[in-house]
Order: sequence, then structure tokens, then C-alpha cells
Amino acid sequence: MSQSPRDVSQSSRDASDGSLPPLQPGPSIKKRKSANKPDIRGSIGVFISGGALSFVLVAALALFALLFFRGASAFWPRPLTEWKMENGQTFLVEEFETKDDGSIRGRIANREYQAGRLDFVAEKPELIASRSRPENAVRMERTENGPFHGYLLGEGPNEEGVEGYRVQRPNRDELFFPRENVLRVQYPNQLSFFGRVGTWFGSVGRFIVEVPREANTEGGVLSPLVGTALMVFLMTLMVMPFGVLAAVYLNEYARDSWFTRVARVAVNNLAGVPSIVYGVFGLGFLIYGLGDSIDSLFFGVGEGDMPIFGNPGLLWASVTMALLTVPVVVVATEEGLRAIPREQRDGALALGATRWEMLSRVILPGAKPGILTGAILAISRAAGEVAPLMLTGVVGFEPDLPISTEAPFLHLQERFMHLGFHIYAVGFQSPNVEAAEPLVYATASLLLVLVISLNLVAIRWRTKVRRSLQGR
Amino acid sequence: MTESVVTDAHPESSSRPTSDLGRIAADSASRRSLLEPSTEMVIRSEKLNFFYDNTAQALFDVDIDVRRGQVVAFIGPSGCGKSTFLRTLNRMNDTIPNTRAEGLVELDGVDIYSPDVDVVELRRRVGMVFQRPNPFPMSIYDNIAFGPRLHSKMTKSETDDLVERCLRGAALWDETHDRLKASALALSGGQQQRLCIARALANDPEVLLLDEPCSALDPNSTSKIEDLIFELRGNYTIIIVTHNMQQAARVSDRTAFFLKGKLIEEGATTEIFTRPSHDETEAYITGRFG
Repeated sequence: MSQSPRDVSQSSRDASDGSLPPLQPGPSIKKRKSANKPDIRGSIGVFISGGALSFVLVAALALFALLFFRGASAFWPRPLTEWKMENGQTFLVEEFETKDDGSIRGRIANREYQAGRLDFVAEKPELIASRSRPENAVRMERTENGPFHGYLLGEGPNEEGVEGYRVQRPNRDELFFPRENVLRVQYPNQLSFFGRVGTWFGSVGRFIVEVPREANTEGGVLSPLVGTALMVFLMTLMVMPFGVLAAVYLNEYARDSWFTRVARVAVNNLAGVPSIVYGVFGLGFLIYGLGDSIDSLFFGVGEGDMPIFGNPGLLWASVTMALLTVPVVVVATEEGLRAIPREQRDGALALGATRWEMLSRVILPGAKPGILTGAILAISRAAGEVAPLMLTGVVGFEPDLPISTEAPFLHLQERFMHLGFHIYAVGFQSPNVEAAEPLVYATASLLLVLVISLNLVAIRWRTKVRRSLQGR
Repeated sequence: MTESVVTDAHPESSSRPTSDLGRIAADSASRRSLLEPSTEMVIRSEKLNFFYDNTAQALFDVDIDVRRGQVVAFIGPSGCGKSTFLRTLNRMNDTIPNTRAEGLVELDGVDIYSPDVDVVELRRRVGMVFQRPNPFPMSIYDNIAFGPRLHSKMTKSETDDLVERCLRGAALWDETHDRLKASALALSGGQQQRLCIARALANDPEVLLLDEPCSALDPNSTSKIEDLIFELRGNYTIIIVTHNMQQAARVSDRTAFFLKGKLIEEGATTEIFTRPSHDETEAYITGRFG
């Protein structure tokens, strides 16, 4: 330190006396010549990471696009084409796509009259003698046997004294459908473009507000929609108080001991337990254990009687899902509690608040964003989860809703339908796979829309709460 | 307990290295000498020892008397125990696990560590303001009303009056009267700290403990807080912990110097800053260590 300015010119070799080397200007910061060339090494990182991001984006977009396109096209009212076949048969066909081998796939409907009860065909164009689009071709939605393609004779039920529809299959005998068997009559070949759009919206609306029919191959998804909503609602009612209170205990009351550390690890690990395991627990403990006890204690159900709560149902499915999502809520709430600065706790205590007053009036309101995050995660998880529900109350076909206008309004012991399981049931357990296929995409799109909109609403709400807490 | 006014002309004091602080202390003492200090004791501690983790001793036999209406400054280097001592006076240290206080602390003649003391009532009467402004994440209005609402049922108009009185008392009314329902976190740091003082005043305390209230604030906000302390003097007993010796000299009637958990010296501020009786005190206030 005591070096005179003259020593600056000397190199650091004589700094051996323990003093610091003299201050010298560092290497030049001017660009080297090579720096004008593109920096390959720097760019590789950008390429790789940017590429990974675009891949993820493209994959997500492709998923959405496929689901929404296939789902939406299921409701588009396609025209009916009359096929006169070389062998003399005549069909009214709702044409879909042309396959790779050149054959045209279409729906001929009128299932009860077809060999093997198959209402879908795929024929080579050379076997079709002529194709035309008769203006008066009619499509009827019926309560059973799927749609009917044919021609309407007379005025239908508007005629005096006629209690149904007189119809004719192409080039076949006359038929009579009672009025109550026919849901809708449509002339798809007379529709303008806007008429088709209107019909499309009508079909989408009916898809949401109608219950499924005919083993899920026809009708809508009201039952799974209501079932999912009820299950998620009941689950939220159960999981939020428990999860928040558990987090409050862990974070506010419990001292740091081996017990709390074990509890925290256990809670975190619960989040990683495969969901089907929760289903097994729900079935084994909740239904066969708790449910059977409730039955014998309160309802006098004995051996051989039909169990009430000893059966899979809405209540047990909700409880199982609540158990499954409780770690998510605990972790998110703890996160929120930890974010409250110590000063605010001290501030409340110094004003004479008891511990509970501090918690309920300062800490919990301040942790609201964290608690809401937990709720968002729990709800999204529960709305999409299927495996544990299959064991605890969800069935493939149960169009009756678990709510009614008669007391007790909410039927907790009843089995119900669920959108996630509905996708599986429609797609893989349907007696008529081809008729059900578009509904798979439509249901999947609906589930996606539901989960995304739930998330968006909750995230907006959280942002609002956070803003108001921060005074912006 | 005499407020001896020391002027610059005093040959002894001006020659000493403490003269700057001494002049500040003397100036402010002369400005407020109108107030006749009470002789009534509010806080008294006797042989107070304090332990963290049940073994690490932070305070050693602290004896101090604080009289009503005075402003007392605690000074000393970091870790000397002044904040710890401050926090024993409203039992805030109780919230830290594994701590222990031995000895006597009295508020108005009552031992505050005796088992029949209601800590809630104690903290209502001994308000505290912390180093970092800590308004609650709620409106300005609700922040002020927080304490009183804990302790009694209040009508809307009573609360309105109280909020206005406290905000005026903390010289914050003019800046906030048109946005009482806005979040307190939207205020500036200095305003937040004055809000915290107003919030403490809303409990109608006897004693106000200020734990380095200006250390997170800019000079302008600091001077507003100091003006406020000056305003509150006489109506409240104020104990302020500070690292800023000019501040101690400006605002306090009496100063206590802590070192390594011991109370080295306590006396009239003008005395401490002009004629400290201990070498350590002199070394600290002249900046030779700490």
C-alpha cells in the first residue's frame, strides 16, 4: 500500500513484500476481429432452448387443434347422399372421408334394419352406380337405434289424427314411428350455409344440456358434466378447510421438530402416490369400512341387504379426491404463509392480538393468493383425474343426475358419471365405436375447455387478490 | 434529572470531540425545556437478565428507570442488546422460542413478567413500532382500527373519529384523508412508518417503543418522524432505539448506552453527549468504535 507512484511501472514480481500489486489497466475491451463473425457457441444455446420451447408449443397447439377440430366437426350437419349401388341396393348416406384405398366412409343409419346392426359402411366408388342429393331426404333423431335416414311421407304429426311419422326407407317399405320415439326431424340437404351454422350451434348446445342416450352413443354429456362439477365442488368443500388448517398448524404452531419434519415429508410424498392407490384406499377403507359401518349403524342394513353408503357413490368419490388433493393445498398454503414477513406477525402481536387473532385477521388474509393457488391446483387435478374415481363411484352410464328437485336434493350415495371416465367409456366400451368416436373428441374438448376456463378464472381471481393486497 | 443546558460557549464542551453532538443535544433541549418532566416512574427494570436458546445471555443485570412523558434513546453498537431490552418491555421476546427473562420489569409498579399479567393488555399499553414499516395488507382505515377492534366493540362513527384522530396525531391526515380505503401498502415508506405509529397510538398506549424506526427511511421521512416524536413527547413515554447518534441527540431527553448486553451509562442526553462518565461511552459517541 505504501508504494510510491513510480512503482506502478514495475510488474508484480516485486510484490513479495506482502503489499498489493500496483493498479494497472486491464486487457483491452475492444472487440477482437473474430467477434464480428456470428457467435456460433452462443447461438447454439439459443437454438436448442428456443427449439425445445417451439416443440412444446407446437405439440400443445397440435393437441388443442386436433381435439377441437374433430370435436367441432362431429356436430356439423353434413348433407345426405343417395347411393344407388351396382347390386341394386339404395342407401341414404351421411358421407365422411375418403379412405386411402379410395373407398368412401359414411353412415347409413337405420341400424335396426342393417345386417349385423352396423350403421357405418365403406364402399369403393366403382360399386356405386350413382350418387345424388335429394332435396327431401330427411334425418331423424330417435330415442333408440340411432338416427334414421329416409323420406317423410305426408305431414308427419302435424296432420289431423296422426300420432307419429309415416316414413319410407330409400326404395323400401313404408314405416311408422310414434311421435314419442322421434326427437328431431332435419332436412340436411335444404340447409343454407348459415342454416348449417345455426344447426351446428344447436347441436353443440344440445350436447351440453342433454343426458347421454343409447349406451353413450347418442345424446349429450349433461350427466358427466354435472357429476364432475358436483364431485369437484364437494371435494373443494372438504379439502380446503382441512388443507389450510393443516398448513396453518405445520407453519404457525408446530415447532421445528422431527415430528413436523416427518409430517412435512409425508405430506409432500402423498402428492406423489399414484392416484389408483387412492382409489383402492377409498374402496377398501371408505366404502367397505366406513360406508358399511354407517349403513349398519344408521340405516339398519344387515347381511344380504342392498347397501346404501357401503357402495361406491358420489360422497366417497369426493372424499377420495379430497385426500388425493390435500397435499397440493397444504404445500401451496404453506408457501403462502411463509411469504408473510415476520414484521407483520410481530406488528399484530405488538398491538395486543392473540395468536389466533393474528392468524385470522392478518396472516390468512395475506396468504390468500397462496391458498387460491392450492385451490386452483386441486380443482384442476380433481377435474381431470379418472383412476381413483372408477373404484369409488363413477360408472360408464348413469344418465340420472345425482341431484333432484325432491329432498334430499343431493344424493350423495348415488353413482354418477364423470367427464374423464366418459371419454374412456365412450371410446372403448361403446357397442358402436364408429358412432361414438366423434363424441370422444367432443367430450375431450369440453373437458379441456372446462379445466382451462376454471384455471383462467382462478388465476384472474388470484391476480386480483394479489393486486389488492399490494395496493395496486 | 436536571436538564442542564450546555451551550457552545462552554469552554470544556467545545474543546471536546463530542461538541457537535453536544451542541445538537443542547439545542433541542433548549427548544423543549418548557416541558417540565414528571418524576413519576413508568418503566423500571432491576437486575434484568435475558437469555436466548436458554444459554446465550444477551442482557446482564440491566437497571433503568424511565419517567413519564420522557423520550429515552437507547444507543450502542449492533448486537449490544438494546433491541432485546426494548422487546422485553412489552414481552415481544415471548414470541421467540427458547428465550428466558430473569429479574424485574415493572410497568406502573406492576411486574410484567408475573404470571397474572395479561400480555394482551400489556401490549395494548406498551405500543411498538418496528425497524421496517409493517402495515398490514389492508386499507389505511383498517390498519388504524386494527388494534382498537381487537380490544373493544366500536361503532362506525367512533371508529371514524379514532382513525382521524390517530392519523392527525401521526401527521398523516392531510396526505391520506381522501384515500382511507386504499391499501396501506400503496403508501411510501415514510408514510407507512407514520401509519404504524398512528396504528400504535390508536390503542391509546402509555409507552411507545420505537425500534430503529428510521433506519429504512430517507432523510426527509426521517425528519418527519423526528418531528412527530417531538410532537408526541409529554403525552406518551417514548423509548427509541437508534444507531444514529445525531438522532438520539435531537429527539431524546435521556440517553442510555448499551455495550455487550450491559447498560453502561444512562443520563440526561446533554450530559451523555458532552460529559460522558465512562470511557466506553465517549469512545462510542466519538466514533472510535462501533
